[in-house]
Amino acid sequence: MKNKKRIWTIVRIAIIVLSILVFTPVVIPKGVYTPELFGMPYTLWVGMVIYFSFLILILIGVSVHSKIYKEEEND
Amino acid sequence: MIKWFWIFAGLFILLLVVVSTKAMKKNKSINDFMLAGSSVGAILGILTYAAALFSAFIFIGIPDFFRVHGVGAWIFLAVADGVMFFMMFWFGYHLRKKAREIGYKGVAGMMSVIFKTRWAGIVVFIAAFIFLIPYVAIQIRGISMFFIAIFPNALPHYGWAILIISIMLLYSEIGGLKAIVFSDAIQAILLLVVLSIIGYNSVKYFGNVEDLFNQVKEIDPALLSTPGPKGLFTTQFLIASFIAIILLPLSQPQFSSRIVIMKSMKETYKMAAGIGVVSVVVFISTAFIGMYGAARYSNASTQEFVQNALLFDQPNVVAALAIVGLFAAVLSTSNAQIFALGSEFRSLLEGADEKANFKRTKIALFIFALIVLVTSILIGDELVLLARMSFAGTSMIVPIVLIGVISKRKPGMEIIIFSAISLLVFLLTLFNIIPSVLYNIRVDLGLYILLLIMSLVSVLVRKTHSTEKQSP
Repeated sequence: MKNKKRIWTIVRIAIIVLSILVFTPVVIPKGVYTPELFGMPYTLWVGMVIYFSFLILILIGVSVHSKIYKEEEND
Repeated sequence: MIKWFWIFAGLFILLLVVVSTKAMKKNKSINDFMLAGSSVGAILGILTYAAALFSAFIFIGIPDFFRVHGVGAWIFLAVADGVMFFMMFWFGYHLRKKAREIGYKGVAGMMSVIFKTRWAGIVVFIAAFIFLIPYVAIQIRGISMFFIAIFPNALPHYGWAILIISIMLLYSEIGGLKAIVFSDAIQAILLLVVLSIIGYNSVKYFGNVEDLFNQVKEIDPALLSTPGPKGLFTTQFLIASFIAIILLPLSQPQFSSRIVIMKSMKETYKMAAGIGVVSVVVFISTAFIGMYGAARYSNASTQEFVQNALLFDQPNVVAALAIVGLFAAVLSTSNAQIFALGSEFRSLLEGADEKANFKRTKIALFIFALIVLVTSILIGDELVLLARMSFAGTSMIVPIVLIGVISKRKPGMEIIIFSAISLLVFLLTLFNIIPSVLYNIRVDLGLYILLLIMSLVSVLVRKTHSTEKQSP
C-alpha cells in the first residue's frame, strides 16, 4: 500500500511538472519549428510526446488509485 | 453522394428510433429517465463522454483552428484534454463518493445541500445556463449553414435549426438520458470513423506527413510554431484555455453527470483511460485535416474549407457519412447540454412531489430548447472561440463545486461570493465593459489566480477555526 501511495504521489507530481513544462519555451519556443520529427514541426511532435506521457500517467494513475481508494460500492 | 446520404441518414434515423423506444421501455422510474438508471458501462461511458466532448466543435472548429492558427492548436486542445482525462477520474472519485453520501440529481442541487444555501446551486445553474446556451446555439448555427450550402433550396437556416431541435427534443423527451447515451454512442463511432478516414486522406493527398508539412511551410511557416500567424497562441492564452479545459468535468454539468451515471468507480476508471486512448485518433486526424486545409485552402472562408475538405475532396461514400456524422454530432452534443441544464434545473426544485417536479423539468427542457433555437438565429460564427468562452465562463464556478465535493466540513458563503463576482467580471469583459487584458494580464487568467488564492485562504481559515473550536 505504501508503495502504491508513493507511485500515486509521483504520478500527480509528474502531471503538474509536465503541465508547467508545456508553457515554457521547451515545448512552445516562439517562432521555432525545428528540429522536426518525421517532417512534423517541433511543437507538434513534442506536444504529441507530452500527450502520450499524460496517457501513460493516466493508465498508471488509474491502476494505483483504484487499489488505494477502493470504493464502498459493489464494483 | 446524395444517394449515399439518404441511405446513411435513413439508417441513422432508424437507429435513433430503435434506441429511443428501447430506452423508453427500460425506463421504469424518474431516476432511470434523468440519470440513465446510473448503470452505464465503460464502453458506453467512453462513447457518450466522447460524443459530449467531441462535437461540431471538433468536427469543424478544430480543423479550422489548425488551418488558421497552426500547430499551437495541439497544445490548446490535446495537451489540455490529456490533463482533463486525469481530472475526470480523480475528481470523479470524490464526486461519486459525495453523490453516494448525499444523493445526486444534479450538481446545482448537490451544492445547495453541501453549502446549506440555495445560492450555491443558483450560481452554478446560472453559469451553466449563460454559457451553455450560446455554445449549443453556435453548433446548431454552424451545422445549419453547412446544410444550406449542401442543399441550397431545401430549407432556410432557421428551418434546419428547427429540424435539429425537434428531433433532439423528440427522442430525449421519449427516452431520457438513456436514449441520449445510446445516440451518443452512435455519434461517437461515426465521428471516429469519418475523422480517421478524412485524416488519412488528407495526408495521402500530399504523399506523406513530411510532404504535407513541407507544403504548409511554403504557404506560411508561422503555422508551424506558436503563437501562430495571427499571434493567438500566446502563453497566457494557452494557460487560460488549459485551465478552462481541464476543469470541464467540474464546471460543465453534462460531463459531471456522465461521471455519476457510471455503473461503478471501476467503470469510471476504464472510461477515463479509454477516452484518453480513443482521443488520440481524433486529435491526430483533426491536426492533419487542418494542415491539409492550410496547404490547399489557406485563403478560403471556414465554410469553404469545411465543405471542400470534408465533402467535395472526399469519395462520395465518405462525404455522405461526414454529413450524417456532422448532423449526429450536433444532435448529441446539443442534447447532452440541454438535458444537463434540465437535470440541473430539476435538482434545484424543492418539494417532495417528484412527479410534479419531473413535469416541470420536461417543460423546462422544452423552454431551454426554444431559447437555443432563438439564440442560434441571432448568434455569430466563431465556433472555437465561443466554445472556449463557454469553457472559461463555466469554470468560474469551479471553486464552489471543487471545495463542495472535496471539503469534509461545510464550505463558507465567501466561496459562493468569490465565484459569483468572478462570473460577473468575466461576463463584463465579454461585453467590453471591462477590458479583457488588464496590466498585460488576461482577465480570465487573473480571475483564476485570484479564485485559487481566495479559495485556499477560505479553506485554511475555516480549517484553523474548526481546529481551535475542537481543542479544549
